[in-house]
Amino acid sequence: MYPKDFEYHSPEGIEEALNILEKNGSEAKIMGGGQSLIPMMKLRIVAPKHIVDINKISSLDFIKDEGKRIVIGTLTRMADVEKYEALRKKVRIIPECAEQIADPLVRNMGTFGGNIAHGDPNNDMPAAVLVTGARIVCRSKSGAREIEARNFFVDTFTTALKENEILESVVIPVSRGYKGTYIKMERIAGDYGIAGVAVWFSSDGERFRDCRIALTGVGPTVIYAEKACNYLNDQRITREAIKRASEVASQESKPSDDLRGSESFKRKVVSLLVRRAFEVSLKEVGSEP
Amino acid sequence: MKVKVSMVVNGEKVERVVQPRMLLVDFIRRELRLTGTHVGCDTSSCGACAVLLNGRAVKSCTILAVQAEGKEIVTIEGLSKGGMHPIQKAFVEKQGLQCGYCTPGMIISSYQLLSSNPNPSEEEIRKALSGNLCRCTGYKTIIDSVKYASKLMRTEKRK
Ligand SMILES: Cc1cc2nc3c(=O)[nH]c(=O)nc-3n(C[C@H](O)[C@H](O)[C@H](O)COP(=O)(O)OP(=O)(O)OC[C@H]3O[C@@H](n4cnc5c(N)ncnc54)[C@H](O)[C@@H]3O)c2cc1C
Repeated sequence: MYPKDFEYHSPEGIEEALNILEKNGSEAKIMGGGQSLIPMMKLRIVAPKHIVDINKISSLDFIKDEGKRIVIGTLTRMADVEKYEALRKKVRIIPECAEQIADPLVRNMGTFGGNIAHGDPNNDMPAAVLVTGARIVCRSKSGAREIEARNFFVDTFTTALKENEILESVVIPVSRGYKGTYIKMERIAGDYGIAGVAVWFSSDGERFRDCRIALTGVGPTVIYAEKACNYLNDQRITREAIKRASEVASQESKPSDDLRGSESFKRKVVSLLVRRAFEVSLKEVGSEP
Repeated sequence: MKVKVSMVVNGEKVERVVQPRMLLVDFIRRELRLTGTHVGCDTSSCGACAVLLNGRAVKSCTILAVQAEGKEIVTIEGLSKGGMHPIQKAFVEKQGLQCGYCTPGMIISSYQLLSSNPNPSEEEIRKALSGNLCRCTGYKTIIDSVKYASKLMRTEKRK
């Protein structure tokens, strides 16, 4: 299978890339790892006239530990996110999510920013960055702006990114005392999940504080389970509270029937995964419910 | 519009003029006539097309040839330049194949694993090969082959 013919650009600096985007508007597509874009081009689901390959812009490939925040450049490969020590120590949900994405071959190419910019509700990283309270840095010729991850995902394959913007980096706050994890259930190894769940919360040992729950693959975009979070905040850490929250989150999901399962099955998976994610996270710090 | 692309494949510099939409796997198979790299599913799922791109195993059906500009590619032919590679020997010895179609990809992924982790656990082997599908063996003999390869490589000290 071949993609439709296109003009190929491989700018070496971000300015040059932004000029090409400015000039070609909706006819241009940025290429990161190409692990979502190339399959779609081969199937002719999309046929951009201009491909702007950003892989030569080495200033976009970095992870910076700035103490209170970790900044991840868009071009960082998932395989590198997975192994980055400071992330493991400080915001482990990010590498824990990374290692569950696709398979090692895809993760060697696929980029951190591409997984977020794509706006695919089945991409796993959006839920993980969302619960950490990350901000997405987007740059156009008129400068950079930061968007809260919670406001970034608009609809299926639609994000707050404008045609003339590049997702430059993602800023992940390091919140002391927070715990949580990302888990997904797959039909087969290396696949997108039937559903995925990110949880991130703090606690005073007795009660939940500032709970955040996000769901993958069960709606038009990643879903922030706000009602479940509101319910859990200030609740005592008990099995019953977690169970109740998992049911609320399941009601907040909007799955549809497809090859990965029926709507009702996916709702059950969501509730199971929410429960499991809390139990796993609490077990690790020894405050089992 | 065609563009010039040059890269190092199995240690040799190659240069061609190609359409930007040409996939790396087609560049390798059709332009360079290196047919050890296979096209299995052509939909990014099976890993039969795996090659090393600057030392990392990737799916060459999901990369444009132009993206490999200036990079180093190693295919299965490159691994066996000095005679059969220990991983290949191990796959023969332990019958890590039946039809053989997935084998080049399996070996490329195993190679990346064993270069960074000379003595992997079964769990680590399974994870490292999770992007490579085999429709014959049921994977058991493939895992055995990789374990055996790690032993051979540690004793032969060959990379
Ligand atoms: C077999 C297979 C299994 C997979 N399984 C999973 C899975 O389980 N979970 C999962 O999350 N993903 C999965 N993926 C997708 C994979 O993780 C992709 O790598 C990822 O979705 C996109 O990252 P990329 O760098 O390859 O982006 P690309 O394919 O290059 O781009 C994707 C989209 O994002 C845009 N884009 C990329 N970078 C930028 C940028 N810096 N600024 C603006 N726009 C940008 C592109 O224009 C394009 O529209 C799978 C892919 C394959 C082939």
